[in-house]
Amino acid sequence: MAKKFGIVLAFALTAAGVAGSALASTDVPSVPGARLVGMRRITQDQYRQIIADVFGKTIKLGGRFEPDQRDAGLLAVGASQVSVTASGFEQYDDMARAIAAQVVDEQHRSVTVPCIPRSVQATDDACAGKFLGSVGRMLYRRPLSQRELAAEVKIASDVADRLHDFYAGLSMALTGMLESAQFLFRQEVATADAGDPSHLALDSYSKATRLSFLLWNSGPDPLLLDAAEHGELDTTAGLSKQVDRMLASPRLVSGVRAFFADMLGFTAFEGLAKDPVLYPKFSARVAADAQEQTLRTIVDLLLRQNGDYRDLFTTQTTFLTPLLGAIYKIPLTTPDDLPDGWVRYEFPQAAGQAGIITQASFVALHSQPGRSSPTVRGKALREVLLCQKVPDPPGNVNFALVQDTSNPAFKTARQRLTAHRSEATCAGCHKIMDPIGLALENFDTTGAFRSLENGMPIDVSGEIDGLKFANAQELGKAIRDNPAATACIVNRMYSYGIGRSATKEESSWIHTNLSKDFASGGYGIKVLLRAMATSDQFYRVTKPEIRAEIPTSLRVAFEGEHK
Amino acid sequence: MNVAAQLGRRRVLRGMLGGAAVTVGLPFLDCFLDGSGTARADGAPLPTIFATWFFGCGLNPGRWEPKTAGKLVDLGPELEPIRPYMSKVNVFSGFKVPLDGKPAQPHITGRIAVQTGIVAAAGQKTALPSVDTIIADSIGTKTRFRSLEVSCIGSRLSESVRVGNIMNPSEISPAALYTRIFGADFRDPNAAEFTPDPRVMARQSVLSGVKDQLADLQGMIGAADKVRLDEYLTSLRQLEQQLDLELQKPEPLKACSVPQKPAGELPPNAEVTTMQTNHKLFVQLIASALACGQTRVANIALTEGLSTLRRSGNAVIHHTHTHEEPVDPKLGYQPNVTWFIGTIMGAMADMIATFDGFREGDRTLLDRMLVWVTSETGYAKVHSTDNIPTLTIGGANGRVKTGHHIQTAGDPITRVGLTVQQAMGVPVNSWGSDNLATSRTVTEILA
Amino acid sequence: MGNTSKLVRLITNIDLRRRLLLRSCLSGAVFVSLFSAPFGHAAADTRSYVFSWFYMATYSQDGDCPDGLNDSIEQHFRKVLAQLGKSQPEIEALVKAIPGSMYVTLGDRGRIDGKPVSPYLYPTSVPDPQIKTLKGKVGYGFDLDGKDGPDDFVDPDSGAHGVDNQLYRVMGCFVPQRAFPPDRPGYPTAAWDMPRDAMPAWLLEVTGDDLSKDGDVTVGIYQATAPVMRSTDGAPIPDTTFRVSGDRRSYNVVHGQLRNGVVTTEKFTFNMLGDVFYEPEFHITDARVRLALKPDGTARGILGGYEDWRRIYSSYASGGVFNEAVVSLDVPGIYYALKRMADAYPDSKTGENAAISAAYTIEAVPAFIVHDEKTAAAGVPTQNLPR
Repeated sequence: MAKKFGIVLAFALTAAGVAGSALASTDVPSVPGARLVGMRRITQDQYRQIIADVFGKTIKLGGRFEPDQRDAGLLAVGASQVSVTASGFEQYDDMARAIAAQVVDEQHRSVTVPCIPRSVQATDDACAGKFLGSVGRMLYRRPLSQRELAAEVKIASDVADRLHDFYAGLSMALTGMLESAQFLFRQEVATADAGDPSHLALDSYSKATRLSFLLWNSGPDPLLLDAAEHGELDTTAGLSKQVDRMLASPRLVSGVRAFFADMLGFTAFEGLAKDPVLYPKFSARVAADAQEQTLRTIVDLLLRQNGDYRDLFTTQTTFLTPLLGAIYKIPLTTPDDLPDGWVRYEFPQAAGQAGIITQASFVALHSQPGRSSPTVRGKALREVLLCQKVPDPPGNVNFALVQDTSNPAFKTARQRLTAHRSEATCAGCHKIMDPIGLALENFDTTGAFRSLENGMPIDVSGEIDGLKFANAQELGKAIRDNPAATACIVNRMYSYGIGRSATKEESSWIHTNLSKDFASGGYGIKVLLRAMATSDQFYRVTKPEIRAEIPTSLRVAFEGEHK
Repeated sequence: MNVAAQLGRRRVLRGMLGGAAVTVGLPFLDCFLDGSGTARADGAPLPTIFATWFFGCGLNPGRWEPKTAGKLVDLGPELEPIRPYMSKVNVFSGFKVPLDGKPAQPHITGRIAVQTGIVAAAGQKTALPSVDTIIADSIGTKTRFRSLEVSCIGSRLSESVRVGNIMNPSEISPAALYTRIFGADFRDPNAAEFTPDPRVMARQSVLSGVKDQLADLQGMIGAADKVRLDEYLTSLRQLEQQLDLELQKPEPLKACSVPQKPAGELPPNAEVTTMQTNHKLFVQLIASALACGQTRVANIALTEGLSTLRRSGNAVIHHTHTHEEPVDPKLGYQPNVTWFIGTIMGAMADMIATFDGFREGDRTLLDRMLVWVTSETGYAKVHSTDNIPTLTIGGANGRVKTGHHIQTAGDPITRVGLTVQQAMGVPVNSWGSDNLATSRTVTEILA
Repeated sequence: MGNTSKLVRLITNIDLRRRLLLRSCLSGAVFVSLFSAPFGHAAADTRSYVFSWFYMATYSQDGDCPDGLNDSIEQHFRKVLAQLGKSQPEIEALVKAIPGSMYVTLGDRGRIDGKPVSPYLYPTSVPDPQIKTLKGKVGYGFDLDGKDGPDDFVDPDSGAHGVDNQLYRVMGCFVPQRAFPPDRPGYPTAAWDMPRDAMPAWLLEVTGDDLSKDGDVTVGIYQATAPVMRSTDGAPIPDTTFRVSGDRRSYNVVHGQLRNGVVTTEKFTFNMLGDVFYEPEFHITDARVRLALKPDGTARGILGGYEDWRRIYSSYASGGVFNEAVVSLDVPGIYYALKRMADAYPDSKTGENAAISAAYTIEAVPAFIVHDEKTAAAGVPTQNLPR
């Protein structure tokens, strides 16, 4: 391996190319055993958020992203498995060029570029270095190494020379950074854990990154990067200070929204359509409003009111637009009659609402285009909210048994699903899903309430894990009281934070520590986040199988080199 | 043009990492230069094209298979739309995915088996590349796009996966595909003048710098992440390839003419009229792109495996009908399901008509294409993976003989995937994993 | 009232809580409907709607224009060119070049003292083209004059004789104005559709003790403060909520009777503001409404009465050359026909009738209506208010 290491180092040195300068003299003592333990591609939303954070909200993206992938219920976990395809790279390149051009254009450069070049038609390495160094630190979520910075300055300089345009040089170099693996992937570097040789611990910048994406769904801000640089994240006091600062910030709202949008599977709304002949009310705008309704409900209950997570299954308070009023068939006016206005709304008990499980974002998402689906909803409730996997149907299932949908005797879904209950091969799994989904049958495929189906009254009673309920509201209460619900969110949040499913050891720690903290904190979401983000465990990694040590050139970058 | 010599360490490594048995060293089929097919201006024949055309939920057993084995002289009623093109088609019936006792994941197992040659157990992640990416890696490295993926029902899913379960996402809008191919970065092969853009060279040095930084990472990551980084690098190289081509004067291509922007596109969704409209636009665009040498591999997903095709005013989608609709005792089939099948086979006929209607000299585009039509189930009602329908369309520049009906009694469908790869010049003599491993080429159709 | 009080938390004015009327779903009453009638009756039932269609009622049938249908654009243009003295070859060339100079030619073909003028501003500056008018016997409307004359219709829904609807006779042989229900004629469909996103919605409210039974009802037709929200097929989204604007130019309340699911009102004067692209303003006297309240929650019916025919003409005239050259409506011809066929309110001096009988189709989908403070406080029907 030494030979390969040497080759890499030599290659790295020649790639630098810049006239001599400080390269050889800034070797920092190497840290033994450092490894790259994770590569998590940033999601669409994170990409947008980071660009807005670093360059401002006026930068337009205008590109298309590769679809993010879901695994173990989360996009955050799928991000650890995807790469970048050829068409995806084309798109990242298009977006990078468009963003970079805007960042250095006349409208933006006074704010984004911290210096003025000697001449706009020639190179200026000092100014280019200043810009690329500071931007690079934000984009790569760590300071650039001398070698990296020199390479970027060289690109900027070469292009500026060739095109006689300083800003074109900046723009090209920035383009490269925006499509580099260092930006597109969250690279997590770990070193041996001082306290426990059987584990590795994330280095400071990787800690900052993990923390920042958990709480704010974006890269570390300058204050957090500073704290990482000064080693503050390696002390309990220093880490707590940053965590508390971030929990108190309004930016926590984006972080919590991003988590729930991921956990609740809202990306499925992209392909969602209802049959326009049967349900003409349901449009893309309705779908967008439905997601927003649920996210606002969650933010209001969990953040603004510091409420109990479990109350999400029973709350009658939500937020609606006039369009949603039409869907739920309730009278709703907004101040100034604005069609996109949001209004806080309290459902009457008679409306039969049970928090987020009867909101359109749940019942409409988990339905067919032309009708509701108790089985799909029941499965979703188990898998999304209780983290209980429903087994796949057997490959050789005999569907001849489930034939009679045109039977005029079968008017309601409950009747049509009789075979699910009566056939032994079907009942085993379907009894886990169907009764729950049937409780939600008062809500049609768009989320509107109905008490009849084909003229017959809908029976919404059932049972979950032995607990009987008479309607959706009682189902909501049953879920509220089900320990699986709180265990699920704790596990999901942990997986979301670390980018993979928890190991056995981690699950045990989650159960004994995190879940207890959550419970004793009144199931407050900030309590859970704080307990996670201030724990050692969250920043601990299992030893992966890797091939080689990190070469010096890169260790310099990761281990706190001078700015 | 010895492809075998081009195989590097990377390709062998990938084959081994994937777990499939890839054997190197089969004598390369040399009939590429036989002179069948229109020649380019410099005398070389126009390149062979590979395309896949996928649809979910299969066909009705007993209603599509030709009765006569050997020569294709009759068609089942569901294949009737392709009658005018019978001489350019091969039909394969009776091929299956033997499950070998493993439980099949509905609409997953069949797809993965047909495209990547392995039966995945429930919950198991497979990382093998699909046939089209194997072929694209072989023949697609010199074109602007390694491959193009489109989907006709508004989903970005495709059947095209690279090693590591990395899916190539589909375009869902014909207008967006048009911009991607024929937009600002398009170099017309027949343009009289050609001036290389200095900005392109600047972009090249940027990409080169990005690549350099990767070298550092290569040395210290785990095996799984290395595969992902390799894919990232491959994708980056594809863009470098595109920029290279932008700096060279392209070969004139007589049959290439820049099309108009597609008109009449419907907002992508799974409604049948939308599928039909957008599918037509996509196929026309792809034909133009092929004629203009922009790529040599195209993947068309008409539906997903679990077909969400729907009919306006009907509460139930195609897939749900396959399970819930009773078989009509008089007709002997499920009427709604069969209606959907009719629209799918009609679209297939549209596709053939477009490619076969695109003239290149005294031949058609279809004559130098090999379109591999696949599905993922036999009888969808019971998720059967027996008798999964598959066809090939087009003569692949004379490398594939057409007009055959290959009838078997349950041979593994990987025989067809293997044959298709060999027809496109991939040097393999066996393909598939475990009980799907086969080296029995369908020799009847290889020239 | 505990649940309902939560429901009406939206309404700030406590007095208004009594005025908030909720639609009760036929499919199973989930929400309790609050009740209040404008005249202080006891418990009331309400159905509320938003208009999805309001235009001249048509019942086009084969044979109802025995003299033929009115000219197409080309035929009309030919006749105009002949009137202007063009030679046959000139006419052929100009027709071939349509649109060419057609707009200009039509738009100033009027002649006063030999000078060209707009035939829309000065319809009598061209000779009466004697447009073909409807001779059929079946048409919507009401018997406004109490007589059954030779020009009267039989209403296809009610079977009533003596129905007065001269406006339909004037318009009924123009192709773009013809349709057999439930189809809608082409020109009005475009005219209704164009301003829909800007014109404040029209609201319809029916109140009674128990609308599932026969009895007395009150019908309100109001203007809303906002336009309708539309779904992708262009129709208004049902179950949206509207505030009544309270503008007295668009506020109508009238008594009626509900019998077998059909409401018929007393006579009233109907005032509604529209839109310049549609009809700027409606003012219909001796008006009545007949409305079927359907089980699917929609409503359909007609409104009939007398309209100032010049007001009708001016709205066609404002469309001017577009109406002639694109929609094939002979605008000056409509002037002459309206004047000739007007049938009420004779001028004291000239004896010429100033009003023409008309009937309009109403279609409406369910909506929620919120009355604001101004209208609640007023509480008095507008026919008694000065305009």
